[in-house]
Amino acid sequence: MDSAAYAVRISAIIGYALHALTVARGRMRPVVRAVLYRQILFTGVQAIPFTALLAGLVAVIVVVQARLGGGVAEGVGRLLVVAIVRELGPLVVGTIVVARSCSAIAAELGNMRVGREVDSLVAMGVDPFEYLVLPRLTGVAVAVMCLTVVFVTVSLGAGAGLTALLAERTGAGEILRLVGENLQPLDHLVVLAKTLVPGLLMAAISCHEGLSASRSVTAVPPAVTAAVVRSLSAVFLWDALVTALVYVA
Amino acid sequence: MTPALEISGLSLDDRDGRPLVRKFDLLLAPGERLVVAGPVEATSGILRAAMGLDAPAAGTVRLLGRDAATLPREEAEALFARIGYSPRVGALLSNLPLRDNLLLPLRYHRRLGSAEVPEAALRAADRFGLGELPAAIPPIASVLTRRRVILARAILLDPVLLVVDDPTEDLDAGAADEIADRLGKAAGALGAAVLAASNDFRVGAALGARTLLLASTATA
Repeated sequence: MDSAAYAVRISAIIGYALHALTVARGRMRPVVRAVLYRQILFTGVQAIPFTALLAGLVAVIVVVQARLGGGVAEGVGRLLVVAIVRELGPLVVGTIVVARSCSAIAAELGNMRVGREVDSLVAMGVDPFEYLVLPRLTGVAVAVMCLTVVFVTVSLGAGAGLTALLAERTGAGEILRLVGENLQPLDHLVVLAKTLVPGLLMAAISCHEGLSASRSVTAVPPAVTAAVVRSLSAVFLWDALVTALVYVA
Repeated sequence: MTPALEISGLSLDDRDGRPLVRKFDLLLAPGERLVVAGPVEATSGILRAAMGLDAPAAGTVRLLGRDAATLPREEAEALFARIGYSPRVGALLSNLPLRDNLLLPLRYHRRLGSAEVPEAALRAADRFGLGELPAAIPPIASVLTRRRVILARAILLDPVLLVVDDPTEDLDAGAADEIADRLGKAAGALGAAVLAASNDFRVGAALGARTLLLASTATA
């Protein structure tokens, strides 16, 4: 497939959704809001335990590696910011959401298309974009942002606690203070850029792949695979791009 | 008076490009009832083409005097809100409880909240024998219950045109009798034009409709 044409299609979906949310359609219909809430519940709320678990484990890995490298408390504080806030938080959350939700979205929409349920919506005068795509895009983007906040909070807390346990003369409060010192205002914008945009990208890709499935049940698994692979590629590509632009340029 | 449905020179092919329908013309007046009988793929294809769901190989379709394919989104939505459609396949969203499936067009077009259950919905459900709005999801409901919900939803917005594809398919004789009878009464109460596809004589009889029998296009 022509990558440029594919990128244009995904951008068009996101652009159309943003236009619909902000300008064209006014308030979201209650029936569409209900789909949005279900999406946030599934993608965000129900993923909190798994996200927290991975956040704790990532903190252990970072702190242990920092200690093995002979890092002092100042170094660990900086490493937690660099590794977790700027990079691993958005990336790990992106991966979690792609694995849990984007695969589910592509499968659900693919099955709806194969089962001609999408046609039924059209025949009822229900716009499939407004009813199926818009709430999923919004829900996934909101969930990715919120899960990243959860991930970073848990990971920094666990990292600070573990560092305090391993370092005899440094308390967890001291580590958190060092984390705060190393956090720059720009980091907040970076986290926003690395969560909002990938959230929109992965949801748009998953909806596109699901709704593009040909009308055969055998078309659904390849659509799910394509959604996962392309969403992950988009998340990592965007992350690398933002890092390069912000911290190198 | 604007026809409820006007089909001119419609030609349809199946997925493999074989002809299903050739040069089919139909004019359905407001309030008129017609049952199309014949090969299921062809009759179902005509209804899907009439609803703008399948692009024809040739020909034009005008629903309530308008070509839905050329309308802006809002106008197309408003047009389809005046038409009740009961398809053979994929009528219900499988992840949505039957109750929500039934209420979906009303909630969407009238911007109703999820707690609101208008009297119109209960009335439509009652017309098809649903004492209460079922909470089960479609895959675990009986064929008869699903059919009741699909047809109740089709009449929910008081359509001026009902397009009904094989309403008694997969039903036993008693259930088919009941559904055909309820459909006939509902169409009579609405005064809507009806285009149905069915090879079940009960449907035509209950609707008091004329029947159009399609010749098979199958070739040996």
